[in-house]
Amino acid sequence: MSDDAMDVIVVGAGPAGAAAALVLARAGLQVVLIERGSAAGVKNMTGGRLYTHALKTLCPENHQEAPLERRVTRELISMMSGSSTVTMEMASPEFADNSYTVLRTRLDAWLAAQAEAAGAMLATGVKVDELLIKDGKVVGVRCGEDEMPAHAVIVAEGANCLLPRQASLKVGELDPHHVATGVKATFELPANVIEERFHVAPGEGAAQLFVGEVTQGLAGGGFLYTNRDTISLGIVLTVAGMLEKKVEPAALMAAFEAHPAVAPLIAGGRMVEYSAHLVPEGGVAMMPEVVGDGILVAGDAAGFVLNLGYAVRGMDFAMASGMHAAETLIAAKAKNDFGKAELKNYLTRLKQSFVLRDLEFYKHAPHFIGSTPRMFGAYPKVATDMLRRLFTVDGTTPPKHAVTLAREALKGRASLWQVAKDGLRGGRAL
Amino acid sequence: MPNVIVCYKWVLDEADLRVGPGGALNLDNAGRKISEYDRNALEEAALITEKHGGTITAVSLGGPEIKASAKDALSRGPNSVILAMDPTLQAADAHTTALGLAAAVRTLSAYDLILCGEGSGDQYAQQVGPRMAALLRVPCISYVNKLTLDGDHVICERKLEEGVEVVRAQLPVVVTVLPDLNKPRIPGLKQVMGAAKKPQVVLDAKALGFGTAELTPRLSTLAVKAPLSNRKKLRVQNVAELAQQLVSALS
Amino acid sequence: MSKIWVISEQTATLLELTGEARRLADAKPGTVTAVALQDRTAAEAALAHGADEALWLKLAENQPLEAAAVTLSELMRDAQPNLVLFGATLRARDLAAQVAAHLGAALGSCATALRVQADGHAEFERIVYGGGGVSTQAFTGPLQLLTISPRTFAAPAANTRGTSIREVNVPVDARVTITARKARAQTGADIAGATVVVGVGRGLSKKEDLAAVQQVASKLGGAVGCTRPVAEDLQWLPEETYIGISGRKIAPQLYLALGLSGQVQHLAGMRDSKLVVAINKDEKAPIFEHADVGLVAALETALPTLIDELTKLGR
Repeated sequence: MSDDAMDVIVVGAGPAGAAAALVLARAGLQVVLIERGSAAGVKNMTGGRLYTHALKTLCPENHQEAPLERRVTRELISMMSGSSTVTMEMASPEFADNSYTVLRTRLDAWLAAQAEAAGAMLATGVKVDELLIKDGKVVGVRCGEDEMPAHAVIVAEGANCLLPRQASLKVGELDPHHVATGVKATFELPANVIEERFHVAPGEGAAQLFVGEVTQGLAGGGFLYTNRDTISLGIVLTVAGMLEKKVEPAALMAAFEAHPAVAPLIAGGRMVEYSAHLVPEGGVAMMPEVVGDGILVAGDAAGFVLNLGYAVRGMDFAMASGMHAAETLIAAKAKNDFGKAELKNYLTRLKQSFVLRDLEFYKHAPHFIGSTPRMFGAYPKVATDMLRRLFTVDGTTPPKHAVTLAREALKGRASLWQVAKDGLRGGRAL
Repeated sequence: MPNVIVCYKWVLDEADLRVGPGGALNLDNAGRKISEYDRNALEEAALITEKHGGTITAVSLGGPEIKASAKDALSRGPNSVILAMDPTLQAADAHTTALGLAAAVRTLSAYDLILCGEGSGDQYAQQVGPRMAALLRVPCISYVNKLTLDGDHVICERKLEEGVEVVRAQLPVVVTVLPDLNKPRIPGLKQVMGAAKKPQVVLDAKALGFGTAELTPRLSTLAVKAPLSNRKKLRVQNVAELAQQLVSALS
Repeated sequence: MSKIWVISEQTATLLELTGEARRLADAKPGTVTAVALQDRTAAEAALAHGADEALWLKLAENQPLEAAAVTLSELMRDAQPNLVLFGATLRARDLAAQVAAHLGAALGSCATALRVQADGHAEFERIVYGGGGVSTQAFTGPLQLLTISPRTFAAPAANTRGTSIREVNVPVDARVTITARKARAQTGADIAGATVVVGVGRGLSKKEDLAAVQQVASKLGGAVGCTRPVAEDLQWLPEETYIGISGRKIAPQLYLALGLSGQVQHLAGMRDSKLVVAINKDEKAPIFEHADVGLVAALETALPTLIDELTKLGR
């Protein structure tokens, strides 16, 4: 490897790639950040909300300048069945400054710009076709006719990731239960309308998750996030579910937008964007091999996504894993050793950080979610049914105690035994 | 070893065009790109210098927003770029654009060929190329879909309404190009990265030798709206009814 | 006193512009000068249809039309017309732009509508953003130049006013020579002048189905045109039959749109059709917003039925 070679090539300028490039550039390494979209962020999508702790660690000096949308101060979870909805809401001024809604074109562009400002070279509109491999070691990339050698490559390509396979990293077969499709529409609404409608102050926002009718009982759910002057509305559905019930996300979206719990929230909003993206949801179970000779894998490409229903995390893992990948390579460069044994320190760092700690901790969540269809079908029905009856006073229906209503609502849908079991399992997995 | 100049325009992307209330067009959030036919001009310059040697200077005019265009243009072949950049030029019309570009071109000691797209993707006025030629006192050969250098001459085929007009002209000339002239290549990694290292020269209105009065557009835009549709929008239920409508219309 | 100049190398277009200029000059007293390029008979015809005077610019053989720019701008500099209308052929657009540059004047390209106020100020409309928008613009200076497409104005009635034709020789520009001309093979019918046009889009499933489309067109007495992808990508119909912002502009009495979605670029080419009838299998296709009569149906079944129905109705 000549001295002209780049130190690191980072593939993908999403949060993982940009974070890695930024940390590497700050340490004075020669790094190229290659993005296939015309600009960082254009090919990325999120619901979405960012838990900002990782951003603060990454950019301690200027994270306040990051283009975040609204600070989330209202969290809602809605269970829908038919046209009925039961919503649980948590609103608190005590919510710390930790959670913001984001728009990826703005956020990713800012992150990539930070990396460039620190000295990383950003090449947009370029697709990496292949890893260059010599004697089993990754020594660079090929983009079209151009080959670029480097001491190491960080693959941060995202969910639909093909490069690690080329380096013979063990990548499991894509299990349709572990991958979801997210579909999202963005509606334009003036900021003051959003604030009135969602009862938030300027700069503050709401995050709402929906379960049940929105996915017609399949594993997955709907989401709504308030941005500065737009609303992000969408659905996530496992690919397995889609195939099994032969549903079209577009049809589900249309029904979701028209649902009485949703329609008033987006009323008058003009749809300005419609997109879809893959989301890896298997957690540690689907984590591929992320270390090889001269190669590290970070972000969604490494399966670092956690969907607990009430919390969906991917971007914070992405930024942190990008940072750790960079730190690993900085140490490797000092020793001039980019071999697998040295690079395995990446895993050590991940394990010591919240990334693998949290993913490991919640490792039963994906299975629980995938194996508990009652969460998406029966329970929303039970809840809406029971509460609707509880709140109905019409003078003719014979009065019943809450316990009776509960039992009647459960009848034919779930046994008490199942409810208890699900509660226990869920409480321990989520 | 020809010295080639390529003029390009940094236009709003019409794909991001939105229609607001009352039919007003909204391009507030639109991204920008190099106008389509100008890419053909850049590609032709690259092809010419690959074959004959020489240099390519890209030139563009506009407000501060054109700074972002430099890397894109430089990744497509030019050796350097001149940006005629000034806030007063943000709303330039064809008249002021041609004035500014011609002034920028005059800062170069010599040139053989100036290539432009035959019209821009946004306004499509098809004026700047011929205007520049008139101001620089050189011939203009427009609507060219085939170009061959022949010593100190150029032979161009112009695609016109009734057919092709083959024109031979002495350099230097301005040529405006059609999209079927060539197929622009997508910049590869090396070109994208190389672009960051190439020189960029910025000339403001003063450096171009203009005062405000000279750069005032001669056309004012009163409104830009989505095209109106006054159609009746009736629906028929079957082909028979449709046929009736067609026949009635003809009688 | 208004001075209107009209300029074209095509006789028909020169007459259309002369007629409109005459109308404007009669409303607000003024003179109409018709400038013919190359062809003297155009100058004669203009004098017989409303022009007060005519100029005939003679170019040497094998000189491109644009070589007349300097001469024309000098003539205009002397005469100081307020309004100048060029017929917007490709060459004339180039010529007009060069003249505008020599005079430091603005030029409105391919104006689709023209309004002249009482004080002589002109306002015009033109299509922008590839068909996505219509821009209304006005001149800020005294010299108002425009190019206007052929067939925008109607042919004028006979109206003899002037008699003299002033001949002006355009000096040869030795730097430029036309060395050859290759006429375009006319493979398709000239749809620009047809009163009925049937347009097809990508909704036509196979090239063989064009026969059915041609039958419909024959029954309606019309010509067949298409959208750009059908001509350029699929190459099912000749290039000169594609209707759109960068293709032919048509204004027939009847436009039947078959299996085309109605993209803005196509609409820009046929917006002036008197009656638009559309068939498309997608009820959300934009064409239905731009049609007077619409039917949601698949072409595979609709076309044969349409042929039958038209036959029954005596076509």
